Amino acid sequence: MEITTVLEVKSLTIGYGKDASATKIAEGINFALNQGELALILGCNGAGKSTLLRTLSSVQHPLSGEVKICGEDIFETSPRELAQRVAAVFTDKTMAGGLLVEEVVALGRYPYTGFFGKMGREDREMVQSSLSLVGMAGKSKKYLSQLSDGERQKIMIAKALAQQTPLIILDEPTAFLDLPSRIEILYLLKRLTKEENKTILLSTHDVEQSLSVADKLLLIKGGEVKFKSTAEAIECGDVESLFEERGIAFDKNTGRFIPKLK
Amino acid sequence: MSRRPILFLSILTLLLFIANLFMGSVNIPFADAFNVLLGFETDNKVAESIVLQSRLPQAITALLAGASLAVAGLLLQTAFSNPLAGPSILGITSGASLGVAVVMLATGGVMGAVSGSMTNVLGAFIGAILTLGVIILFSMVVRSNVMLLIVGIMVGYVTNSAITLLNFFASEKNVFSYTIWGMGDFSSVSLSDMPLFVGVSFIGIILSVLLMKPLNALLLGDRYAANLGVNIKRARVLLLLCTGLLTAIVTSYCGPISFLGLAVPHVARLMTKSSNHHTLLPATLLAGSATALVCTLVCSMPWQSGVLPLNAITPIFGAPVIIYVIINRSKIEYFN
Amino acid sequence: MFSRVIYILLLVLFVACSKTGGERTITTSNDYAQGYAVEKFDGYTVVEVQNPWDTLKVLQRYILVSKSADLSDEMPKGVVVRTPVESAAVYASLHCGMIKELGKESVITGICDVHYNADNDLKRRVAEGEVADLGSSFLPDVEKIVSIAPEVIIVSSYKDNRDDKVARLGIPIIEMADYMESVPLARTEWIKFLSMLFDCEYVADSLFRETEAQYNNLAEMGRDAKNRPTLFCELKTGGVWYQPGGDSYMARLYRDAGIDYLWCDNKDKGSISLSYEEVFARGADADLWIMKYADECDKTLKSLKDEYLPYRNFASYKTKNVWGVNALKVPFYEEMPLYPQYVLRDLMLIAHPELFNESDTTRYFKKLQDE
Repeated sequence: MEITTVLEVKSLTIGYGKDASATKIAEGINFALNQGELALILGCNGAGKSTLLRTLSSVQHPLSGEVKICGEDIFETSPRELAQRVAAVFTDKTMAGGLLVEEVVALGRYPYTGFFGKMGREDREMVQSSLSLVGMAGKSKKYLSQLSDGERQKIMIAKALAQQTPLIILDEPTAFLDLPSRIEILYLLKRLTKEENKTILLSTHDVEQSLSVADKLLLIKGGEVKFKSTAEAIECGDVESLFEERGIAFDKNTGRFIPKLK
Repeated sequence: MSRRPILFLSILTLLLFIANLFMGSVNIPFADAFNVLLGFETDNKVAESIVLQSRLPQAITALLAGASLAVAGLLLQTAFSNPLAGPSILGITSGASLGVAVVMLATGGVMGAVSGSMTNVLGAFIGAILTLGVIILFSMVVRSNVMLLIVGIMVGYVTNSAITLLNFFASEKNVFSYTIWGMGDFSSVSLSDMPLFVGVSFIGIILSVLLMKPLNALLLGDRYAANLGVNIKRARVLLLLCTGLLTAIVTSYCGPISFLGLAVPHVARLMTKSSNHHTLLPATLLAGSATALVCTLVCSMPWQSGVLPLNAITPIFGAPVIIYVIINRSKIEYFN
Repeated sequence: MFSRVIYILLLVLFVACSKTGGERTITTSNDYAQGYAVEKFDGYTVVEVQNPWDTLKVLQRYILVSKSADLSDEMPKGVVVRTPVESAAVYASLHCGMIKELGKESVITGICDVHYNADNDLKRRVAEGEVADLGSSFLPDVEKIVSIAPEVIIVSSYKDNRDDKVARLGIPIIEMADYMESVPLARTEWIKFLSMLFDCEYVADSLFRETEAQYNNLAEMGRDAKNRPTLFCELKTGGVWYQPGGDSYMARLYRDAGIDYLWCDNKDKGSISLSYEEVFARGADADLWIMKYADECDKTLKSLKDEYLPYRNFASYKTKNVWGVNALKVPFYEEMPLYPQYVLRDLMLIAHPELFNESDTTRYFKKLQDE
């Protein structure tokens, strides 16, 4: 199978503000993700994970540099086309409790439907198959508010799948979930990269669990960004150094973070 | 599944509209009213005039004003992700009133008397849009829904005190007609005002229907909506214009009418059991019309002397709905 | 039984004795006014103002005592006012007008609602600081009242609207309930009460006798008039169309002018609120339509139609028999209480032009022009 580059980031500087008064959060970010890869953004709170994700989903403009999805600069792509290339999943509170599960997933067809959002046969099939992929086909007629937090997150992932994008970005998709749900979601994402060939980039605090599913790691620390394969990052101690200052060590053998013993 | 409430509401609205033509503070024989409506010759000239020139315009006004206010409330609730938003609670109605009051004072006209000339509508529109702008500015700083509502109520107070100040400089007669105007009234739009009233409210309603698709996406919040390809800024500006237009046209012609905008979207949600604007928006339009028609009917029941002020009736319908929704919010889907 | 008779006898004796101090000399009963009663005693006058909302109760009892006479303990209880009053705070512009008619405008030292007052002379005196601006009559500036220290405060009595702060000043408050009188001449007669405060009853008397004579002359003509045109009045405000009640002041004027007012069967002294439908159902074929308003421009048939299209359905509109009085342009409300005969004459000119010379013109009312 031919390997295609889905996301390409070149000498990107992220931050807030403009020109002289701009606050840089991280600079010199370079990396590329291929089809079917699952990448993890790791870093302490405030390191810039969310800013990076916002920039990659074009919600926020970068200070400099470029972001290309499928070879096209995202800041020169129309909103509709961009919505067909990158889908996002957040943990935002929504007002969608009164929508049926299938209606929420159908919103993923937004960039494909016409002016009034009328769904064609193809759109409806896409919604059903997306629901099947996340294992929620049986709940399509339930209200979103009737679902558990974990189930809701799956529905939002199904929405992202219905968007039929090569790239899916998730901002802490496992926050607020209980342990079984977290593991379920992470392995669901892993499965989607393998079976559906999706490229997935996510930020998370569940480092231990996610390390086992991630292909690549994006480590943000002190305004510096490193990009390595998971195995390599663990091997050369980048993962270990991530929370060093906070007195946390990483045990390569068990794959666990533990407090440093003096 | 979602068709049935719409069908029910359509029939109900139609029946209420007809009831408004046949019933009023004066008893008109059914046969006479019937003949008048079907265009047959009738000896009862009084019936002809009352049915065609008083009741018909009033029923059309109630139909459109109810729909306009209700849909304005729905747009605000979705736009601010706040189920308790509405044109009167956020002070937009007061803003429109202030606009009308300024026009009145500037032109030396009398509030309510020369209701709804073009300048009035424009004044109300500018007032409504400015208040909306202020609310939107605050909504960027104030994240909490309840706090934003309180800000809205404060904005309403400020505009109302501006109106009181204006009234202080107005003549006694003006103050009186302003007070009357403030009670709300669907009967002041006569056939000659219809083109402007119907035209503008139609533009607003059609604009709201065109916004149906982005409105659904906005249910997921701004970030999701933006990712789905919604141009958030443009959608917000259009929503603002649409709400402003709908509130302004109704307020300038009918006075500041309370509760319809806040309560009717909830009635529509409870009936359709859905937040999907594809069914919710038409249901809200119809429920708004139906509620306004019921209120009009109640205001001019034949057994009471004279007509009751509209704003004495609308809270009786509106407030219980809001209280019901607040008490049962844990059981109602769209709150979670 | 016997003890009860003794008791009653004793009571009568007691009451009789307590009255001995103030020998009743004259009791003047009003010819028309129901709202107040005057009793004259040797050395003082008692004026009782009735509560207009509960006519069995006395709103206020005033004991008018000349400044030259001494107060005595035997006078009945009440608000003592020493006459002639030489300074007064006056809330209502109407009462300012009445005081002016009595030639006593110099006693006015403070007024309320200056911007609603139609009297330019008074406005000038306010501007020059000679007369104090006391603010709104609903919320008068108490400190200002204290600073001008008037001998009396003359107010229009409103139901349940006792202003405690002003009452606590200890300045006698003269309650004028004249506007609650529903008979035109009764309202006029209140000027007699005012005049007693200023010791100029003879002025009020002659003024009243003249009005009474003229009014009754006209009213007799009206009663005898052969044709009685039908009439409805006013305009719709918001959803409501107020018509004067069948027992109201205006309804009396219409009746006296020989007009069949369409709601004369009603028993209301105030106004009745109706809908357009109700007014139209009764007034569609009425001969006359008259309205009182206060606009910058005079109303026209066109402006009526622009205001509310169905107005044009009335027969009186079609025959152009619509009359209006623009209170901004003519001193209608200012003159009406004292000179109801002028209004009556206007109404008769409108309803019975055949009884007058062709050269006679109306004082307040104007026929609405086409445009």
